[in-house]
Amino acid sequence: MNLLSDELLNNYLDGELDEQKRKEVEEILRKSDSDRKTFNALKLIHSNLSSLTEFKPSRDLTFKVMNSIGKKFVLPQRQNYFVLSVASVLIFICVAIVAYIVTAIISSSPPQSETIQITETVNQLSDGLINQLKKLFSGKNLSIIGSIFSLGIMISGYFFFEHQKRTKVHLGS
Amino acid sequence: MKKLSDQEIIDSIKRGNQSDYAIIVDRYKNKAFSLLKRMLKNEQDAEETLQDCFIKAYNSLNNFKGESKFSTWFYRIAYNTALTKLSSKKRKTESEMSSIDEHFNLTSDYDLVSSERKDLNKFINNLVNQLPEKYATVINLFYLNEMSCEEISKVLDISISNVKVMLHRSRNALKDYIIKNDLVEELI
Repeated sequence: MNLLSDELLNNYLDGELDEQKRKEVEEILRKSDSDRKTFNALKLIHSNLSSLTEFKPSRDLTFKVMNSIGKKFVLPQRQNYFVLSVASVLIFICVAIVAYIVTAIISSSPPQSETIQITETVNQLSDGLINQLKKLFSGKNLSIIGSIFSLGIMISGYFFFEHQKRTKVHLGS
Repeated sequence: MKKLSDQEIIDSIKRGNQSDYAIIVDRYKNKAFSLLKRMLKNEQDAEETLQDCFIKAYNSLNNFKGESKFSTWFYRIAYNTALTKLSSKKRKTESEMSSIDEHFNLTSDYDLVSSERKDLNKFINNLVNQLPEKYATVINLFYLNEMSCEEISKVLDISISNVKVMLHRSRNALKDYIIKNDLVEELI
């Protein structure tokens, strides 16, 4: 029968006993064969656990992790590209409308000599602009512009939805 | 060449050097993988969980204030992620010390008598891998990661005395196994 408890032997092994207790344990270990056998087994386990095997993951783990992290950083950039492309399409449409109006005004005005004063031209242009805008946003033309804008919104919405879906999938993975 | 400390690398990452995180991954992947493999008892689960842990840690780097060691902080993430994985697989997990009366059903098919002394380590490893996950975690963190009982208590979020109890119980289970099978004389 053992005189020393497992708890005491573990504390002795970890060097957590005071001087007096340590000497008592050593004395018992010298005299008792069964206690010595238990302690030897414990010491053997302790020394072998110190060289516990270190397992290794697959070689490409670092690459996979860095790749996942990298994608997260690309996402805001992609979002910027998306916003830029939508904004540029809208700007293009606006410029096209303005260009159409200006061309219409110039083509509708009678040919003029170089001596006409600039103020008259500006007045003519502003009057023409108002007339053209009235014409553009009335009747048949309004429905055409409305259709163009609706189409633009639908396309933007589709790309936005797809982008959100991809982001969700990415975050999920 | 001077080896950069974890804190220096983290500061660099926070300054925008994202690629420096690869140094952290390389530094901790083996030890964290060993911990997860011993907890989850499955290599594929361990690798998937390890990836999640590194990504989680990266996303939470701003929350790491350096109050504890990075290793303690990271192993805590790894331990909690593994527990979540285990619970999602409906495996039994215990978080209270009241559940310490666990059965250590250790077995080994390893033929020690015919094996060489150098394979003794393999034999012990085999037994450690059979320990319940929490005990295997304590053994792994104490011996392989060379963490103190205080650090382990922070990782597992339990008291230092409970860590010592778990450590002693694990050793005793292994010790009882080799005594019961009359292996002490052969192993020494």
